[in-house]
Parts: sequence; structure tokens; C-alpha cells
Amino acid sequence: MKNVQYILIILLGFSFSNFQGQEAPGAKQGKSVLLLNGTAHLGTGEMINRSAIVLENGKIINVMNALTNTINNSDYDTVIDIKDKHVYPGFIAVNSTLGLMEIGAIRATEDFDEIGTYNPNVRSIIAYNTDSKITPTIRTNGVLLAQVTPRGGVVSGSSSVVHFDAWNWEDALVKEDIGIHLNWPRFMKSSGWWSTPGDSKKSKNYMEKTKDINMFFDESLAYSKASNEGDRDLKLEAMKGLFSGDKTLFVNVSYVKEINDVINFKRKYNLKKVVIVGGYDSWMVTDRLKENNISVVVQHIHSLPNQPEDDIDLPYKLPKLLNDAGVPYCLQYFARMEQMGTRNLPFVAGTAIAHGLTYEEGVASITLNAAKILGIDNVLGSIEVGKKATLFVSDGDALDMKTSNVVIAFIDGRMINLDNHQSRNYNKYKTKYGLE
Amino acid sequence: MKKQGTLETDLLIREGKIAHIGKIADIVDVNTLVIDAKGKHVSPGIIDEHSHIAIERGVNEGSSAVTAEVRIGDVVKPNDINIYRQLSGGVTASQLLHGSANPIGGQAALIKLRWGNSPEQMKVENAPGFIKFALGENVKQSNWGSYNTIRFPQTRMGVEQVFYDAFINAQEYEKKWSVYNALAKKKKQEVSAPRRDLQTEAILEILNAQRFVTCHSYVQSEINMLMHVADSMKFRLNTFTHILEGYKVADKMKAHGAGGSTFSDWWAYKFEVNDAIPHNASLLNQMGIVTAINSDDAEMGRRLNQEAAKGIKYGGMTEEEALKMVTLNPAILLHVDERMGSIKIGKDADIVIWSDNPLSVYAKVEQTIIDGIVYYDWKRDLKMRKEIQQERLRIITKMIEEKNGGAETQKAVKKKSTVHVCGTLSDDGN
Repeated sequence: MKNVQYILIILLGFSFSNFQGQEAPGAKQGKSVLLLNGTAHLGTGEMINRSAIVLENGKIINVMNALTNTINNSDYDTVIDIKDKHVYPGFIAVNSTLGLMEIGAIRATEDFDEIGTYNPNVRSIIAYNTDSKITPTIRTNGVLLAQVTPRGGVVSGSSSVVHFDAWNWEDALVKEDIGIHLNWPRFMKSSGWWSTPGDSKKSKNYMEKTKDINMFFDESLAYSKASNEGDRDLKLEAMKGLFSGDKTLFVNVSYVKEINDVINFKRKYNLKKVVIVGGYDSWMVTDRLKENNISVVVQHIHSLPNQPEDDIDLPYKLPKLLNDAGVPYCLQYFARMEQMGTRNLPFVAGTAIAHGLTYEEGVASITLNAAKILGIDNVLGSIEVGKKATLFVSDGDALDMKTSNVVIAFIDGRMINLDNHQSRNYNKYKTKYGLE
Repeated sequence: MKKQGTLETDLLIREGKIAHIGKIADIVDVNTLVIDAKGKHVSPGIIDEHSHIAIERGVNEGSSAVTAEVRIGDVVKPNDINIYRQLSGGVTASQLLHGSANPIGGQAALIKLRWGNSPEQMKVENAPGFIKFALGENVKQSNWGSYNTIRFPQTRMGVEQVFYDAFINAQEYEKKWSVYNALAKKKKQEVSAPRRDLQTEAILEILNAQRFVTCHSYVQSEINMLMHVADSMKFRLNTFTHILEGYKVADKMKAHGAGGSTFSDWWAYKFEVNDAIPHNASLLNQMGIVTAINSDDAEMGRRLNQEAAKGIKYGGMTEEEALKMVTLNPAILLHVDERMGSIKIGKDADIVIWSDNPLSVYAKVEQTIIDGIVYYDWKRDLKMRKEIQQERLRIITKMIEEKNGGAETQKAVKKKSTVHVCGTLSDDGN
């Protein structure tokens, strides 16, 4: 049995030996680790005040209440006492472009927006950059997984789920090509220019655009039923999974008219899995969403209301409105400044709690709820026996910037280095100025 | 705040000022409005050093590299809904800045968010004048596509020369006028007066310490450069705004006497912010530089309390230090700390009542008070929502009735409000 101090020394050793470049992925976990006495937020909506969580071979093999179970420390190779600390499942950044863009204003670093209208065969995973300078600053706040998502066009491409502790994209892969992303046209069109936006008017070609999407889906559906030997079409082939239910259709759509049309679209093509992304008006049609088994990846809630007359806190309370109506939902961080801003995903959940969710619902909104929408909840998203040991420990409440301080994190049981180039830069200049 | 820190006590506001801090046994005047804030938190109003809300039709006069003559104060838009939205986040004052398209931009306006009043009534009385400067990628126009490649400057080298040119020109302008003014009355009739130049006069005000600079800036080389320009022209740069690499030249900023107003944790959105760190504000603060955290963003502006709280997380500020980042420190940078920025007897009664510690993500604003007047009250807001809904319903019903009666119809249009950031020109960049 080793103790906490020993673990911390290992971690410190990491940060010094690795002063230049990216953090090296952690070593494979073999021996058992016991996380003892922490307040565990399981992601399922439940919590254990004094928990005992056992990790072995990259998996969670036991989750117990330390107050009601006899725990024998000598049964474990390593015991880490996390009394007064909080433990959470790794947070999940849904609808993210992390690893597909490095510096916003530099086109050469952008890899998420392919040219063309229908690109279902375009795959984000092969462009995912494990050596991004941004991701180490994201996992420092407990965000350990992401859905790497293409943008642009009408059908943008195919997304995959990754974790943030990998040598290359194959290592990073959690689940490949899970969904196809569709940008639904807008019914109302903006006019004017940047400095004087005009009124929005009914789009002249909404019908035409939706018809075009219908034609593409007609073709895709027909293709999925045919043999196509000698006449293969990569785009149509990539669409097959939507009809079989292997893939999810993620539809970017905000307003109620369009959401209703998307619901009808799902019914028309008998699509098994449809998720609405954005959904500013989704709270208006919760019954139809539930009836048709549609989940919502709620738009970034740190945003201004769309209309001047909207409730000033409408974006903040969207999660609560969906939660109370029983619509499956999760949070995301897609907005301006999204890549580097994703480290604030936990605080978005904090805002949702301030505006109505219970604390454990808030945790679920960026863990198990997200895992369900991505179809990875069988292996990730909560602290439950049999799931992957992807979880972290924070000194204080990780959803509040005032107290968040992630001190230990595991991805598949590997203890990861929480240092990043920014904290090293800070220390470098503190030394220069003789501050301590 | 200053050194007093946190107290659990009563607060008396009279005629827009803070009149008394400490237990009040009896309310003598029956006309006194009593707000029961037991269990709540009361903080000074939040001051946003860098905002682009409430500005009519654009923030950048992008025609020329020097536009010192234009004034945001002439285009304050008092009915911008973002004023009310900022109030709901506890903001009581915002400095409305020109954008960052030009090395020397336009003059700023400091307003209190006195929602419902006219532009002139919103401006802070006798506030010292400020002007926006900018450095780096925006003034080089390097992120604005392939078309903006002909205006000087296109490099940081050119930016330095724009400043020297403007300041030396202003010195010569002043000389011309003093020569002219020194002439005898009779002599003056024989020559023509120098031509008055409002742009140069605004720049001259900077040299004469009658107008202060807040300069959009990111990387250390250009910050260093501008301090050299200022030192050689014998004026002080008041504020470096954004200043994400301030941590690299904190010693030089300290020696020059400049303050910093920065983002809490932004980086990576363009090349010049690639080395930004979220510990910047904390390090500047540790170096004894007056440091604020600003928004430059109507959305983040209403969560500046949370942005300040990140100073605790990154770099270990105390709670008091963090709160000062958005209250007293911006007031000092704006030279209004004698009357704003903290809860102190005699200061303006600009205060916020919160449901929780204002540095917590869980804190919600219950009331925002400016000059002793409640401009935002969440209970009142809830009531107004119901009224708006009823009014909407009434109008819609009336419209349907008219339509059914055979009246003429027209297509629906949706109103949209403008949101500016300081690089707004092509709708992105900062």
C-alpha cells in the first residue's frame, strides 16, 4: 500500500520532467486503486457522501458507501484518501471542435468545415489532433471526453467520441463515426449588415432547401436498400447507419417552426435516433419531442436571449425547462471562443443549477445525459461498476469557478498529468519576478 | 471593500449616496424604503472597463488609422436592451469604447446604466475623458480577409510610426497656436490663425494629461513599444486593455505606471493571444499593478462576477482581490474611485444585492441600485414578464379578429438587436 504523498510526488515528477511540449499520456493501469472518503457525484443523479471507489485495469470495479461498508485498506495496492474532496465522472464536451482547430483566426489551423453541401462521408476522427495545445488546458478542469464534430454545409460529416489522453487518434477513440450532422435551414432570414441588422423576414427558399434535404434522404434510403455493387457512392454509403439505427442524426436547429419540421422529418424517414442540437425553442414542443423520442443538446446557455422581449434568463433556464418536461438533454459549449472556452463547460452546468436544476441533475447534464445522447453510456458517463475509470477529484465544487480545483484525474484508469503550458508559463514569470 | 472586507450590517442610502454603514436601530423617517437583505450579499456595483453595448450603428470608424476626433458619446443608444441585461448581472457602469480598428481610435463614454433615461442622463457627470488606442492584429487588419491589405500600417513596425507621427504633429500644432496666441492683437489681424483640427486637439489632450488612454493590446513587444512612445513624449499610458501578455512585461508596466484591464481566461482565438494565460490578472495584481477584468462582450458582461472569481482559481487571489477586479479597480483605472467602486460613506449608492456570494456561479442578482434608485429588481422583472405575455396575447387576439373580419394582412418580421465586440467590422475578431 502506498499513500497519497507518494502519488503526489509522482505527479510533481511528471511536471518537471515534462517542461517542454505536450503532456505525455499516463501509464497503463494495472494494480488496484482505492479512492477513499470523497463525496462522489455519480452522474446518475445520485451522490455518496463518503464513498469508496475501486479502480482496477482501467475499470471501476467497486463503488461503495464508506460509512456502511467495511473497507480494508490493505486489500488495495494504492489508497488515496480524498476526504473533503469531490469526485465526478469525466465531463463530456458534446458537439465540440476540440482538436480540429488550434487558433481561431488562422485558417491553416482549421479542420472542421469541409467545402460542399452534402459530406456525410467526411470523418472528424482522422483530423483530430491529439497534440493540440488546447486540450491539456481543458482537462485541467475535469473535461476528459469530447464528441469531435464537423461543421458547415448542409450535411457536415460524421463525428466520433474521443478521450483526452492519447498518443494518436486511434488511441483517443472511444467510439467511431457515431453520428451524422445536419444543418437544418432557417425559416426566417436576417437582413441588413453587421452594424445595422435589419428585420428577419421569411426565407424565400426554405421550402426549396428542405425539399433538397428530402431528396438527399430519399436517395440515401433507396441506396441503403439496394445492393449497389459496381456502383458505389461514398456519400450515400455513409448515410446507411441512420436508417439502421447504428448512427444518430444530429440536427442543428433552433426555432419552433423548424423543430416541428425536423420532428416530421424523423417520422417520414423512420429515423431511429435523432438529436436536436441548439433547440432555443425546444421548451415549447416538449410533448412532441418526448413522443418522438428526440433528445436535445441544449445550446450554449451562456448566451443572450435571441429576442429583446424574451425572458432575460431564458438561455440560463433552458435545461430546467427540458428537465422538468422529461425531455432527455445535455449541455454543450458550442459558441464563439468554443475550443479554449470548453474548460468552462463545468461552470455552464453551474449556471443551470443556479437557474433551477438540482446539483446532481447539473452533474448529470454534462456526464451521463451526454453519454446517453452519444450512445456511450454503457461504458462511460457515470461512476458505476463495470464502467471505464474515467473520473476526477476536485478539492472543491468543480461546477463553481470559485472553488473548482482538479487535483487528480484518471482516463481509463491512467492517472493523467494535470499540468499545462499555461501554468508552466505562470510559474516561469513568477520566478522571473521573484513572486511566491 | 478596500481593507474593511466583509461586514454583516445595515446600509443607509440617502439622496443617491451611501450615508451610513453599521447597525441602524430605528428608522426615523417613515418614507424610508426598507429592503430586507438578511442572508443576502451586498456588493459595490460592477464596473465594466471595456464594453460596446448601447452604441448606435457600429463601433469602428475604420476609414483612417487615426480617428481621435470621433466620439462614442455622440452615439449612445439609451434603449439598447443590453443595458437592462447588464443590470440583471449587477453591472452599474460601463465604459463604452470605440473599436480596435485603428491605432488611435475614438473617444470613449462612461455611462451609468440608468435604464429609461436619455443618453446625456446616463453619462457619468464630469467623468475624465478617455480615448481608445489599439495595437496588433486588428490595426494591422491581418484577420480581415485578403482585401484589407493597403491601409498603413500593415505591421507592428508601422504602428509605432503612426503614434510618433500623431504625437509629433500634435506638439507642432500646439506650438503653432502658442506662437499665434502670443502675437499682439494688431499683429493677429495681419496673419491668419492656424486651422483648428479637432483630431489633433484630442491627441494634444493626451500629451497634456487631460485625456487618458485605454489601449487594446496583446503581445509584449507592442506593449513595450507604446510605453517607449509615451515615455519619450512625456505622458503616461493609463490602461492597457485586454493586455493578455501583460504578465511578460509586468515589471515594465509597473515602472511606467500603467494599469491593466484583462480577460479572465480567453486565448487561442488568434495568433497574438496564443501565449495568453488565465493567471495573467493574478500576476499583474501580485506585481502591484491596478488590474481589472473586463468583458468586451454583452453576454459575458452580465457574468463579470464569475469572470472575477476565476482569479481565485487561477493564481490564488483572495475573494476581496477578485471582487475588486470588477468594482474598485476599474473605478481607479477610470479615475472615478472617489465616488464609485466601493461601499463607502459619501460614495454613490451603486450597489447590488445578490442571492449568494457574488463570486459564486450560484449567485443571482436580486436588485441593482444606481444612485440609490432600484433599476433592476428580479421580482419586478417576473411581474413584467407576465404583463408582456398578456399584452402579446391581447395584440395577437386582436390581429386574428381583424384578419377574420377581412382586414389586410402583412408578413411577420422579427426584430434583432446588435451586439458589438471591439473588432466588429466583419463580425468577428476581438
